[in-house]
Amino acid sequence: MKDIEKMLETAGKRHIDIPLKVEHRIQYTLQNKNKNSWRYYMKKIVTVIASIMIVLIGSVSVYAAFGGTIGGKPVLDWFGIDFSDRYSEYVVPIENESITTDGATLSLINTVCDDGFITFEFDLTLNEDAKKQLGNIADVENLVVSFNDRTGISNNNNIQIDGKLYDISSSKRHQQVMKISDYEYKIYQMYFLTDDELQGKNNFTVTLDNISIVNMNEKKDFKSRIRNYKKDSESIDQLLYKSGSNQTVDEILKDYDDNSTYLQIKNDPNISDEFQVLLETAWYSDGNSILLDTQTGLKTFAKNYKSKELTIADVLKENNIEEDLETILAKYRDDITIDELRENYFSDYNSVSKELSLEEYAMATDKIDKEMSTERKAKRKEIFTLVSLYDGADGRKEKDIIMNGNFNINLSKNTILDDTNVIPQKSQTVSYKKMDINIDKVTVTPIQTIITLTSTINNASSDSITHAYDKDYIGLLGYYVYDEEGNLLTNHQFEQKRTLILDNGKTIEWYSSDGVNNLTFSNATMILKNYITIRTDENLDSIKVVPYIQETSGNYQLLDSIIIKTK
Amino acid sequence: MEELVKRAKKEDENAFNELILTMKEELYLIAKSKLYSEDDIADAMQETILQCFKNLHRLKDNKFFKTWVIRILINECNKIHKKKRKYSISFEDKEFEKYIKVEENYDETIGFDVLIRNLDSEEKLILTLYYCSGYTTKEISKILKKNEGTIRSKISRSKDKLKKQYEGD
Repeated sequence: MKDIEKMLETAGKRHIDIPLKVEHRIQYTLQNKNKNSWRYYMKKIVTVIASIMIVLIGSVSVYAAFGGTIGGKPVLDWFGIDFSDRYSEYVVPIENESITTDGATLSLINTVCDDGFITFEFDLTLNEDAKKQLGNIADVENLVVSFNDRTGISNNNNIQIDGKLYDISSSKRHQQVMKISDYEYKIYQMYFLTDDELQGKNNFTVTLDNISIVNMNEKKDFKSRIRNYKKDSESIDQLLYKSGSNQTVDEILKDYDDNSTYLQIKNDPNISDEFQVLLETAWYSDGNSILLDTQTGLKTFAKNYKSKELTIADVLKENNIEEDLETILAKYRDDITIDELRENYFSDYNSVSKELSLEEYAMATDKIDKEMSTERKAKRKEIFTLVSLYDGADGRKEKDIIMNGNFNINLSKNTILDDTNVIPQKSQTVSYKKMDINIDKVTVTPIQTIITLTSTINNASSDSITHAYDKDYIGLLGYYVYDEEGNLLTNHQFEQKRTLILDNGKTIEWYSSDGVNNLTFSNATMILKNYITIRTDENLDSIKVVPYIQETSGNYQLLDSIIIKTK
Repeated sequence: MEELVKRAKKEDENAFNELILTMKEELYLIAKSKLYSEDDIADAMQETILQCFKNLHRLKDNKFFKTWVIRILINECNKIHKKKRKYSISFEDKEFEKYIKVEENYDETIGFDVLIRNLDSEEKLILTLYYCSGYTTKEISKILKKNEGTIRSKISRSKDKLKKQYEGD
């Protein structure tokens, strides 16, 4: 038998190979983190609104007609890449495509269909009722229009093309929301579609259904949840904790607004270091609540405030339902520990923690229910109501505006294809270890230049793909793009799919690298398909692409450059 | 690390980047213990970095930076995991299982994530924090807000499972 302790210790100290996809995302996020910050967007929005005011003298309707441009200049960007000046030439106006529900009107104004990018421009107007329904959307970054939601948790992960639903990774979709006035917003929904989604079609229909207007802030806004709940039941007061001051929920919430409750607790010399950690993590990771969501948290808090006769109650957070269940049950069964609870009521707790089916949930709760007193049952029901309010989609859905209607939009690449050129390239191969990189295709459309690359790794094994200790391991692959004068060009790059050809001839394609780390293979061929997009610049005759490998040491190794003709 | 946090709070982006890059392997392993898909792991890590960057000024005590980041990451993983429950297993995963045998043999160069891959999510997370991050059981109990006894018993149970798995090698 192996010495498992030694195995774990040895493996735990070994260098970890972060897969390319994850590594790339970390690097991308670190490089672009400012663009995701509230300040960045606020600055941007202020700039845009100011521009609108100056150029269009406050006329929103005139702005709309320009299709995402001000004075012919694009105000949209795609992961930091501006569209070219010719973007507005290819805008296709759409008429009479509006959906109105509960005071919200979403109107599709125009589309742009490029040989890759698709942009839908919407006007969104919200009347007082709709704004009230959505709650606080002062920060426009919280406003999201969700399309083709199939999960019950609003997102924009999908697109429906000719009736077929495709999952679109986050590197291929982008939604930009701009506030025009207190009641008017611009929504730009953008996708990058490849032949894998379009199947080579130039004319196709995109359906946008299951549309909802969502205030993402509500997802985190426990204060609003509590306020809403309080309207229905004063009993919420009993569910909140407060240190013997007899404060009501409203008073506590008022304290929240200026952080005084938080500071009061933070400055309490009786608070232990370990509770500081809990408080810190709970407070900040959830944005705006002092909350304790686990038994340990509750116990720690109780211990610290014992002398003040603290009345503990739950402020539950959006998290795994079984964790909430643990908290609730543990709290109302004072005589039982959480471990005993698992043993007695969840005979196979590990499987429950992976997947709590409705049946298992019902069985467990039913068993507990039989042993509970009437009073406890009533309390449990009350708390479960609260949980359901907090619990993700179901809770938030009450605040979403679910639009009654769909958009079916016929799109055609034909117009832009007339002005699009596929530029023939001379054969060039850049090699690194057992990998060969080739340019597949260079497409120059009036608004973007798309470079498709194929990287083929021969004699690939699961070790050489995933483990840095393998001599054939290839680190993070990326690309620098330069103009003719050596200036670095902003670009967006992503991996579309991987194809693995096994030694028995079986071919497996996948659009994410799910599973590859858990599998063993050898003598295979792995093919990676990558895209690089840059803004089309008609003044450029060529660009230089320099592939690089980021080695596990963190060093960047530049590979041979590839000269790409763009005319 | 505290000096870096201090600098990062003063909007020194290089310091912030260095902090994240220093922790990236640890964060990856923690995310991997909770999530299966690399896309999901990338999403969780991206959101964690952004949350940290956005809220760093609100971190009161610099010495808790690492714990703070890990808690945020675990929360993000939980959110993604919850969403993904609604999906069935993907076609690609099943196809892989058909064609490729999962290796059970141990060799000395095996990665930590591969070594523990057959454990459940919570066990993986606890072992990762214990063996890779070097946290004590007490510290893990604080991070995961669970009793220290529970953590100890989880580690012991996990090792028993691994012994059975690799028995006879």
